[in-house]
Amino acid sequence: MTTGAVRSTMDQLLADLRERGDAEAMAGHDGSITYAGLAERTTGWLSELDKIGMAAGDVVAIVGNAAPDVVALFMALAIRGGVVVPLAPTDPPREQRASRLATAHAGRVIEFHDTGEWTVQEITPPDAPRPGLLAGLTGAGEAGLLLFSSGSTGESKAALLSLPRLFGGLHAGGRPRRTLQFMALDHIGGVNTLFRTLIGGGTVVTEPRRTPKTAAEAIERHRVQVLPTTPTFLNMLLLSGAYREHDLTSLELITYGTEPMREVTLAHAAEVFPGVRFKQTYGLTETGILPTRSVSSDSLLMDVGGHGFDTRIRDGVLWIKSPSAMLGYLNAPSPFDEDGWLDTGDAVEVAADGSLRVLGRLSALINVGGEKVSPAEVENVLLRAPNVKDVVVSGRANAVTGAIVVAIVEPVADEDRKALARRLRQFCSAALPPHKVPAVITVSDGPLHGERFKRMGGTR
Amino acid sequence: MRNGSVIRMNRRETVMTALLEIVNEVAGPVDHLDEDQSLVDQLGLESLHLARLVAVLEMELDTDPFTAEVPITSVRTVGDLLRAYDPVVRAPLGDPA
Repeated sequence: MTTGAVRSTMDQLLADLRERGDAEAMAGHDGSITYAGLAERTTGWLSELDKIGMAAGDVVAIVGNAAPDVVALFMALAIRGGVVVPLAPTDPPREQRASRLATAHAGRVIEFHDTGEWTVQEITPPDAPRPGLLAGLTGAGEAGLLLFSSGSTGESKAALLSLPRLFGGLHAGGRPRRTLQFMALDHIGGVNTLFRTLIGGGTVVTEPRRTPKTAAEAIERHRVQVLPTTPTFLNMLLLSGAYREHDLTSLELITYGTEPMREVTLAHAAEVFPGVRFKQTYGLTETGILPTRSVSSDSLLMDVGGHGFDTRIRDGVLWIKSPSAMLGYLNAPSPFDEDGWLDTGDAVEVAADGSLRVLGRLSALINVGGEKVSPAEVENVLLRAPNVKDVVVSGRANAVTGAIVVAIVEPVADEDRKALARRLRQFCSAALPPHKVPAVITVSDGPLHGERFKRMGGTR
Repeated sequence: MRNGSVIRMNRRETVMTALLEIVNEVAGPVDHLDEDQSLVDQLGLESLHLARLVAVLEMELDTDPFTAEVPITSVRTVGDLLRAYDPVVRAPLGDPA
């Protein structure tokens, strides 16, 4: 893509917004805004960025939930050729934010507070030279997006994507619809939902509290038609009575992804929402979201790819070549082969008609309700706790969240098992987000190095 | 028959103890739960709490009733949960509709 073409993609986005005038662009916890209003706020942010001296290629972190101002700032940064680093208000915890900002080479943090105010903080990027990938992207005049994904070593990997290429891969299918912004903007799925809906002329309904009750209320109040979600959240929605207490008849489509769906959950959901179509989604931070088509509402089989996205099965594992793939990691080697193919690490089964069923991940990463957890990261935390000699962290299948994190510890000295487990869970809670804290901690009867070796052999 | 009911009562106590421990963490001190209280809407349990509850019970009771046939999504109340862990003859769970 030439510099001119890239810039016009972003300018075109703003022109498209303006053209839609009074149509509702966003609704929800932060009020309603029209497309013209959103375009105006974006223009406002463009002059704000000029005031603070932002230049093309600058890396800027945005801390906040999806709301009109956050979205307008995101677009203004994209138009100016910046690199956007979206961060959720509480994940990572504030004390871990600095290391992510350093990895990103961010020079500014713009944070939106609950009070409706926002602040700009200038930070000094690390002394190290700018990573070549960042320099290359900004040299080409392309706006970037930096997302963090869990690495198996425990270090979060900073994935750099080109925003024009990502937007180019968004195919707004069908008529504009009202869509619940379920995932946060620090997740590829959240960015996909937001811009796919806006590019398609639909309405983004925001509700940052992701409980079954608040989601059901938002669906009823804002007549939501599309609910992009996860199997774990569908579990919770069905477990809760919220879907009976609210009128959810506006729903037309529920999409689910980021973790394997249980057949029994899908069957129950299809029974509760008989008029709704269910569609499985597939995507990774590294590849963007792929076009998918579920064979039927009650089937876990789907066709993946098309529109320039190629798929291939090698030894039962899905490989993808994507036009909106990331450029690479800022802090890890490229995972693509020389022809641009990515090994997804997802084991798949191929049906007679060529459709696929995702069986689960081959890697050591644990998928807790769609959030990937590195055993090494959790082990490193537990090894810092008092009275822990050794530890092995692994995943265990779970009916609610697909998988959970479990730990076996070898203590230095004897300690009451229950007290030890409770103390270690508290220790982990202070250092890790809730989904990474081991749900069950057991005490080993002997030395753990044998267990570690077994796990390295690839057992689950 | 008598043995079956003794096992059932013991299991129910184990389930209740594990549930109370988690509810105490989430909502503060509670020493009694009613069978008709709903786990999510009234007790405020989130997915990670329920996931941990199922995992702890699998370890203590050596069973996970939520297999391919029994959906966890049909458990809505404290009573549904207790019945899901009853041995052998499983009472029907809350109606899914």
